[in-house]
Amino acid sequence: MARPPPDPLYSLRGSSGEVNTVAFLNPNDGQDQLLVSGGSDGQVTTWSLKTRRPVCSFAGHEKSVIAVEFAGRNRLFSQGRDGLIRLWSLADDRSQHAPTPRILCEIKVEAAGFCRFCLFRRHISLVSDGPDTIVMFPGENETALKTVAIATGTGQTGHPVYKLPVEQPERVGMCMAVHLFETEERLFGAGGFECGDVLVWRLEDEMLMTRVSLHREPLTCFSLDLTCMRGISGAAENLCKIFEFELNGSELISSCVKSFELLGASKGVSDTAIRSDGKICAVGCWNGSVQVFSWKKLKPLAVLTYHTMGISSVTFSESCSSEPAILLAVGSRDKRISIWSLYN
Amino acid sequence: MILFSNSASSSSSDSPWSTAPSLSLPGGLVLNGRPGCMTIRMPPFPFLSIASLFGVMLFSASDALAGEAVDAEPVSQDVRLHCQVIASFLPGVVTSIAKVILGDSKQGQTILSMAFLTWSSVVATAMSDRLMPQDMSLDMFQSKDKDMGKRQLIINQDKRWWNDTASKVHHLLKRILSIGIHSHWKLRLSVCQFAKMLLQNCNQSLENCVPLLVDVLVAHLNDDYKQVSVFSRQALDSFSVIVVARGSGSLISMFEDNIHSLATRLPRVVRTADDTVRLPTLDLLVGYLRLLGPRISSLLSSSAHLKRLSQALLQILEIDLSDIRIMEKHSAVLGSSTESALYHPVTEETFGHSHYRLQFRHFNDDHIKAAVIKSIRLLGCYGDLSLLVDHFADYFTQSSHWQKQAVLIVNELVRGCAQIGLDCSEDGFLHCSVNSKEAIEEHIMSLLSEYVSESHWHVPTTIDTRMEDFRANQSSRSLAAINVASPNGLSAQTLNSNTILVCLLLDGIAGFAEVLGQHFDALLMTALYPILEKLGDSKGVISQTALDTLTVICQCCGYSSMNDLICHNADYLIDAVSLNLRHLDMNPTTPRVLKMMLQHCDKALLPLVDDTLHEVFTVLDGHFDDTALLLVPVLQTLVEAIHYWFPSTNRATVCEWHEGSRIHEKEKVKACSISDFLKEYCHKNLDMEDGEGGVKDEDFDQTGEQNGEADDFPEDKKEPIPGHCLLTTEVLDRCIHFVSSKNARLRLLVLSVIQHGLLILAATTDQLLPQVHKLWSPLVKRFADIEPVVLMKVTHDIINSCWWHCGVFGLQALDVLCTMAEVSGDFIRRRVVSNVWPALSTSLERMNGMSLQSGKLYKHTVNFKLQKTVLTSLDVLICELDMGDVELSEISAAVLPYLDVRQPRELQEAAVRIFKALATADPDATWLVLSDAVGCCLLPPHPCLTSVKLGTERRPKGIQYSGVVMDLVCELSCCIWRKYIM
Repeated sequence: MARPPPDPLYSLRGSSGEVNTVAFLNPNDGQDQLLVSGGSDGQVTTWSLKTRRPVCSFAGHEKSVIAVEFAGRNRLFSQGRDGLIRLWSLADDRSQHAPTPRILCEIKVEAAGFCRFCLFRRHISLVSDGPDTIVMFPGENETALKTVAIATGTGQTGHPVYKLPVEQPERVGMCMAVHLFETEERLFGAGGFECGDVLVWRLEDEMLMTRVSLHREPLTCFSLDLTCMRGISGAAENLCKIFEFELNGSELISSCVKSFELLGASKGVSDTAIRSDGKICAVGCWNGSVQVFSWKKLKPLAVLTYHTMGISSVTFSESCSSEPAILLAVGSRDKRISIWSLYN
Repeated sequence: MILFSNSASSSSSDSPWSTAPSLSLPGGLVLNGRPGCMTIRMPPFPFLSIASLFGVMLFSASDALAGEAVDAEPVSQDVRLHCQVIASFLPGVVTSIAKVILGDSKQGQTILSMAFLTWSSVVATAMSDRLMPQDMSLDMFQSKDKDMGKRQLIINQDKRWWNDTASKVHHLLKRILSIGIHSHWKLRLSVCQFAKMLLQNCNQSLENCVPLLVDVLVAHLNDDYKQVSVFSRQALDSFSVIVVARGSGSLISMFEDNIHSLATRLPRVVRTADDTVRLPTLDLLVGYLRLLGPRISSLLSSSAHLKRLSQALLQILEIDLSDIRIMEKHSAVLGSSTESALYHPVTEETFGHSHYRLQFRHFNDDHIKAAVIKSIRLLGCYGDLSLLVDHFADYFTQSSHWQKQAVLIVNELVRGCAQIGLDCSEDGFLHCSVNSKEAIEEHIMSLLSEYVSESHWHVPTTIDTRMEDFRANQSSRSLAAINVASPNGLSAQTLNSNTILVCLLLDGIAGFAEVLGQHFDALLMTALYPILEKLGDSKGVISQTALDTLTVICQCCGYSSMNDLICHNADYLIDAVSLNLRHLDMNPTTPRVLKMMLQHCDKALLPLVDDTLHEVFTVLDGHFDDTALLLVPVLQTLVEAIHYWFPSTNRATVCEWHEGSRIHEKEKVKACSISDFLKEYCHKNLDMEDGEGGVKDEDFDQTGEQNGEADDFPEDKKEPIPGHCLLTTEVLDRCIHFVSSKNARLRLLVLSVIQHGLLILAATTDQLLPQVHKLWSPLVKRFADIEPVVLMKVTHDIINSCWWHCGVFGLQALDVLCTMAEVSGDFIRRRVVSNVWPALSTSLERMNGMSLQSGKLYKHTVNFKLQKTVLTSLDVLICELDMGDVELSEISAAVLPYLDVRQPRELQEAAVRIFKALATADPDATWLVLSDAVGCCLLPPHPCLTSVKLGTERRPKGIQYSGVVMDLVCELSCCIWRKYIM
């Protein structure tokens, strides 16, 4: 008999709205383990995983929050449906009565949509005040994607600003998901589009490098594993696709290598995540289940059933010395966030 | 003699030392010494004055000694000589005084205490450590003093002298101290002062006496008089400071040996001796541990010591498992007695009566327990906590015999490391505990997780609940099947042992809270759920202890009440509950936690648990049979709690139906209804004739309509249904399925849930009526349960309990029916008439013969209860439901036999109430039936009217009516006359 599916370690309750997005604080940034969530009512909440309670909660946006991301100690990016990406300065977590976070910087996103921004943090020395983070988000019309560099310390925006072009924007549709990655010291930006394709540009010369056709339905999310240059994508259908990149000199070649159906009749996939150690990947489905696969062989390992409504976000924490177990956080529209410890 | 009596008389009123003149010449001393010595030899007559005499001369000596700079310089020659003079008289003086002390047991405490003080002063002066030569071989006085007179008297204090004298003094001391503890506190204080003085001044010269002296002080540590105990504690503490400062190894090792030997004989003493011996022995142990202080940790690093001590403690603390109170159940079998706990959430009284105190096998005295616990706490305070905890954890795992004691000891060790109950404020120097705060916190964390781990926390304390449920499912009448032999083979002894273990674990958690204080908040995440689990335990002892623990936690973490505690930490609880509900079969205790939360909180909790309650509903929907018995109690508590939290205000009368207030209202209405009708009729006719009446009426109607519309308007907006009503509706929806369950216990529970649920919904008719409709048909089937009661009674007496429960069951169904009638009234009238009426009236008719002329014992039978309930509920039904003539006459016929005087009193009264109710519903018919039955004729109010003789011959034979019935008839007759004639 198969073992029963695992239970979450615990769940975080008390969000006032549906949980749209969750993100861990990178433990190397030296704080208690924190999690941040964004809700459909515009609230951004940071949670302490030690006490399992909110540390602070503030109105981040006027409309629902679609993405949040930590950017180092006490810095937080949030993106709302009001078309803004905001960089927040959080108070130190020690003080009990934390003052409300301060907005350091605001970026206007012209494109209306559900596409989450992505960050690329350069590990440059903190002494220089120059931009240390690149933010990428969808652009308008011929500009498919746009990047802005930001110094998270001060909130100053600066160069380089890239605009990644696309021909016949009506053919690819809206941008649904973006990722920035670096390989062989070159930065690439990848975007998943409504047509079901993933397009990759080289940032330095804003040139479209490759395009891989994955889904018939609009693509909703994709994740990349740079160690093996492989990615997984989900769309508004019960299928996941695996694709690969290959860097051949200055050429980037991409191909779809595998397609597999998800267990159970889920109408779609809302988020995917690959664990940093490359062992497992998690797929959050619209029907409220999270499906876990081995990343190498894509063997189905577990179906995590806990949430009663659709999953909005899945994310893995990063391993560190103080907390060797890698946690999986799942945010759902049932206003709960569940924390899992799987195959540790 | 005369010379000294002066000073004696002047000083006798005060302390002997206070007014002494200063005679510091050594020469004078010599002269003084001899007469004193001589006088003592003829005791006991002038003892007081002699004591003063010695006081005088000792004072000067000790004063001189004390006057010297403490250690910097050697003692000056003068003083030395001075003391030496006294030393020459030492043997004589000490033996004489010892004789006084040991002499007449009746002599006053003043003399005795004086004797003690004098003795100690003499010895302390003559044998002071500071006089001890550094190099014993040197004869000090030979060259310096030329006075031959004195030389003769002064003895040569060489090494041999010191040793000899010490052994002699030791001998004497032993004899003096053999007289034990005195009854007068001042004397005890003097004994302590005596010991203190010797210890302070002579701990090197009289090293062999130190144990004796320490024993004296230690024995007085727990004295009833504060002066004595505080003094001896201070004396011990200052001595231990000396010891620690000097680092004198021999003393320390002597203490350690003493502790070892004490520990060895302690179990024997506790087992066999009586309290007068045990307590001093334990006090000694406490005293020694206190004396060793921080050195305890090095003592315990020796495995021999550790083993001996722990063995002793484990053996002493053996727990008595035979106490019957351990077995006491907390909640009633039917599980419906939660109300008392619900209404008085934290007060002690609700549980107080069954408060259990740990019983030890070898002793009962609280003082002994306190002493043992104090010694353990001292160990915890000074010992290395990790070493000790590990050590006792070994015992814990080794055998189940040691488990409980080991837990008890660990609990106290932890308390000790925070110096709880060690009154360190008075000592001041206790603060040098070896365990750092962080280390303690870490230990507590690991201990807590160990305590609440599955294998320790969930030891079976009752017959396995899962087994119980399993059996419940197998036989529908499980309530009767209480086997004496536990099915899972656990003896009562083991169960009791486990119960105590759980209590100790709970107490341990309370201890952790005490130690950590506010910091314990962080551990609530782990601790609160298990404690609530135990709060809902069926064993009274366990739930009581859990309540105590929670109270302690509230205090330590700064929560004002348990409600506060639970509401603030509801997130942790709910998280655990909802996770465990996913595997209910593995966590059968989870519903208990939810139940306890509902029971001990106020309505602020409701929004917090809403989520989880829906999970409960989902589980109930998913797994029908096996889990219902676990979850329905939660629903029951929920509806009871809601009913309590939201008392329905719209229908205030709901709860007081038996008060009869409604009957009066209706009576008024009925009495004047006919005349009113006639008046109104005439009025209307007149209006019609006027021709304007129609218009007026229309106007009236219109305004009425307008009013109606105005009234309706807010209703159209549909005020949102309160959350608790929605919740109740959902609960009732689930209950419908269980009304017909095979399991009798479940059916009873469900009926109780329905009853409360209906009362909650009484305020919102929109919710109520559909529910009543849905509940009706399953409920009516339950009335069939009434019949088997009667049948079974006749056929089978063996399965007593079975039919009893069915009886209870039918009664419960009737209760629910009454509630239904109250809240929904007319809505169920027709159904009652067609479905319930026949069943009730036939059963009443059948049973009236049984109760006729029955004895007192009949009142304890089920039949009686059934009859009584049926009769009382009929009363309500008649009031609430507007019955037709046929039904009323049927009922009156069925109830009539119960008016017989030979029926039990309660039944008669109930029957009379029914007829009163009938009279309000239909006075004429009732009067007819009654007057018919009684056979009286209607007497006219005025002689000019002829009496009416009603010719019906339906009078039932052989019924003897009481006066009450006659009164009733007369009352009715008057009423009728008034109505028709006047």
